[in-house]
Order: sequence, then structure tokens, then C-alpha cells
Amino acid sequence: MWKYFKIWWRVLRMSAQQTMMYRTDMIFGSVTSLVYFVTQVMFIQYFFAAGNLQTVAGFSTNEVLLVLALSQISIYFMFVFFQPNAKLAMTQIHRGGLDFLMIKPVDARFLMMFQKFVATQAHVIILYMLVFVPYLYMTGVMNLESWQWMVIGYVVVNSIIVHALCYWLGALVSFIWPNFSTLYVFVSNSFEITKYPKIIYPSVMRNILIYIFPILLIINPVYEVLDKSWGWDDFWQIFLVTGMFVMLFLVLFKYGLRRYSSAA
Amino acid sequence: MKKYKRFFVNQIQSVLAFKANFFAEILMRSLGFLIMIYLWKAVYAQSGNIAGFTFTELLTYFLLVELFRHFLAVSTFEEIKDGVMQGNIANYLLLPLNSLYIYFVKNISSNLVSMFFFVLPVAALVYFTNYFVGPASIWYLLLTVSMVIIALFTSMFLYTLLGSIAFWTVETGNIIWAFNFVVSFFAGKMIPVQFMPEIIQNIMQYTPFVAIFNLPASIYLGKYSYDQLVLHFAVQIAWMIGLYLLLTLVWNKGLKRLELVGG
Repeated sequence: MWKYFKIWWRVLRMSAQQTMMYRTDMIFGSVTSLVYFVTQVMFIQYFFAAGNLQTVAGFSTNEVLLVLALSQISIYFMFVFFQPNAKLAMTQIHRGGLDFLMIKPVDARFLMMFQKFVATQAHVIILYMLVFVPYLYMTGVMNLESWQWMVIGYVVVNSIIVHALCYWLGALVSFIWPNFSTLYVFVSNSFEITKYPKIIYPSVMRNILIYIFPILLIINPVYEVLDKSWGWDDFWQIFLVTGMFVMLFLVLFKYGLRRYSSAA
Repeated sequence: MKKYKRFFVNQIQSVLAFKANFFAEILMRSLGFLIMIYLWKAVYAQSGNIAGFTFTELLTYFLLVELFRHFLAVSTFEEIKDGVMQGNIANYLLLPLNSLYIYFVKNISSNLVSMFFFVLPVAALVYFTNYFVGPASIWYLLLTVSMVIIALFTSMFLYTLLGSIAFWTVETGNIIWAFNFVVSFFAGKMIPVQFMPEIIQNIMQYTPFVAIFNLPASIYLGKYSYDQLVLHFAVQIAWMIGLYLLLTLVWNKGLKRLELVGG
């Protein structure tokens, strides 16, 4: 275990050094994340204002903004730790670049999953927590009961796991169909779905996006916590679906590495 | 022009090399449109008309945005960045051709392929279903096409200009990414500019961003009078010419600064 931690720490430092080689781009990377977040907030504000709406699907502007704020936690974990490695893995599978990783005396899956980190995004989450969260606190939307905060914590942690699984499952499909990036593109584009109450989507779509490809388990269950409709069945639904996809991820990864071959 | 034809054809062949991936990606990237349908359906359940748009008009707006997104996608900045970082740009600089035009031709060819496979389903949806509205008139349809062509050149020049920063900073990924979000928002990709506060609308009509999505879609829906159309076209043509001149200047300066090592 200590060996793996040392490798992870070394990769983290090297990634930070590599990012700081291009200082202008690093600064813009930080600005980008804030710009992305600000445009999302503006969209929601104008969305409600345009139709003179108090609520959409029973949720107010501030509640939607709270879910947006929580979704940023999952996004930043992805951008820093998981998405760059999933994208890199797809390229390595297609071009035969995994050989270099597989000959190392370390688990190839660990090396593939933690090859690099995008340091530009890491500190932005602290910035927006210091600015946006106090704003939400002042609106009163964060006056939730303690059980609600505990469940939100559980949903956020689970969301990070599910989000990472979705990216990696999309990437691991490359072991079977090289250069087939559709699932990966789907995950990248479908995150928007989770920001809005799932009640607006038809039931067929909801079931597909919970049980077939669990995009709607990413942060979206927070809406059920906010309207206090959360129950034990929701807890077990998330737990079991996540567990199934973790198993699928492990099996696909193992099968893919056994099947992998290259002419390099 | 014949000299650039080979690049045009090669890019089409390259794009269609992995057909399943190409078509599946077109569908997956259109997911945003699907989300907008359900989101705005929930809103229009409470209100019949928002900022002069009915529900069918708004759906048509987002369908057109999706169509234009295929035609107006710009990949030149990424190619320039990779070309400068890896030195591949030398391959184009050594040819007796304008390197800038090569990037443009490749971009246009891949966009045409992408749009070709999207425009037929869109046309079918508009004319055979009741969910979308047709153009205000044939004249407005022609004006829409004209504005889309202007938007293509404007966005190509704009993004290529930003991509040219690579001559100075080498890595431009995050710069372009930040710019993309700003442009997407103020171009009306996420929400029509007409839904924004009036002061923002007044500022945006003089920027090149609105030409990318909002103007063509709004012209199609007949949202502007002829006087307003004359103003919009004049502003966007001026931006197109100005951006081209600026890009040529920056590109030539960047090439003088460029150093490539190795063969």
C-alpha cells in the first residue's frame, strides 16, 4: 500500500510541475472553471427570470443553485483525477501505449487510473466554496436538518464514485471497440441532465439513466432530500446500483487487460 | 482553389474513417437538445409565451442551434496548438500554399460532413411533425443561410485568432475552453439572448458572438424587422472583415516568432 501511495504522490507532484510549465494556461485554467460556473449560475437566474417563475418542477431558484453548487464538487473531482486519465487510457488502448504500463512491477489498473492529474482545477473548488457557499447560506436554502446534510454527504460521495465509473466504463469500451468514443462522449455531454429535477424527464428516460447508465445518480438525488421525499428505498437503490456498476467496472477492466494486445 | 481541394477531400475521408463512431457521436452530442426540450416543457407548462417565443418556436430555436453547432464547430485552434507544440505545423509551412487557408479548408470540410448527416433529419422533423415551425418566409430562410455563412467565417477567424496565441504561450487549451463558455452563453446556445436583460441584449447585438447561434435562429423565426436585419448584417460583416485582417496580422507575426527544432 505504501508503495502505491508513494507512486501516487510522485505523479501528483510531477503533474503539478508540468502544469506550472505553462503558467498562462494554468491561470486561464483557473479562470475557466470560474467562468464555467458563473455562466451556469447566470443561465439558471435568466431561466427563472425569463418566465417569471417561482419554481420549476416544485423547486425554487436557490434550490436549483444548491444542486448546481454540489454538482461542481463532482465535476472538479472528475476534471482533476479521473477524466484526464480515462481520456488518456482510451488513446493508449487505441495506439498500443499500454505496454509501457503493463511491464511495470505495479498493478497496471492503478497506473492507468492515476497516470496524471490536472492541477489547474484543484484549487478552484476552494475558491468557489469560499464565495458561492456563503451566498447560498445567506439565501436560507442551506437551513436544512442534520439528517438532510448527512444524506447529501452520502449522495455527494456516491456521485463522485458513479461519475468516475461512468467515465471509466466509457473509456474501457475501447478494449472491445478501439477508437469507439461514443460512450465517453455521452458521459461528457450527459452531465447536464443531472442538474435539473428528474421529474421533468419521462419515466422511460429516468429508468434508463438510473439502471442502464446511472447518470441520474450523480447529485440529482439531492432534489429528493430537499423536498423531503427521500426514503430508505432511495438509499438502497443508489447503494445497489453503484455496487453493480463497481463490479461491472472491475470485470471489464480485468477482461480488457487480458484481451489487450499491441504491435508496439 | 484547386490546390486546396486535396485537403478538403482528405479531411472528409479522415472524418468518415470510423463511421460508427462518427454517427454515434453526432447523436450523443445532440443530447443537450433533448435536455432543453424537457426543461422548457416544464417551464411552458406554467406560461404560454416567454419573451415573444412560444414553445414550438423555442424548440425550433434549439433544434436550429443544434444544426448550426455542427456547421459552425471550429477545430483550427486545436490543430494549431498541436502543430506548434509538436512541430507538425512545419508540414504546412513548407507547402506553396497559405497555411491559414489549409486549416480553414479542413475545418469547413469536416463541418460539412457533420452537418450533411444532420440536416436531413432536421428538415424531416420540421416539415413532417407539428413540434417545430418552418421559416417565416423563403426570404428569411435565404437570409438565415447567409448569416450562417457569415457566422462560419466569423467563428473560424475568432477561434483561429485565439489559437494563434499558441505561437507565444504554446499551451492554449484552457484559454480556448474559457472563451468557449463565454461565447456559448452569449451566442444564445444555452438560452436565447432575447431572454436576457435588455442591457445585455443591447450590448450583445454589436458583438460577433450573437451571429454564431442567436442571429441565424432568430432570423429563421422572423423575429427581426428589415431595418434590424440591415443593422445586424452590417455589424457582422464588419466584424468578419475586421477579424480576418487582425488574424492575418497576428498569424504573420506569430510565424516570424515560431521556432521549430528537428526534422
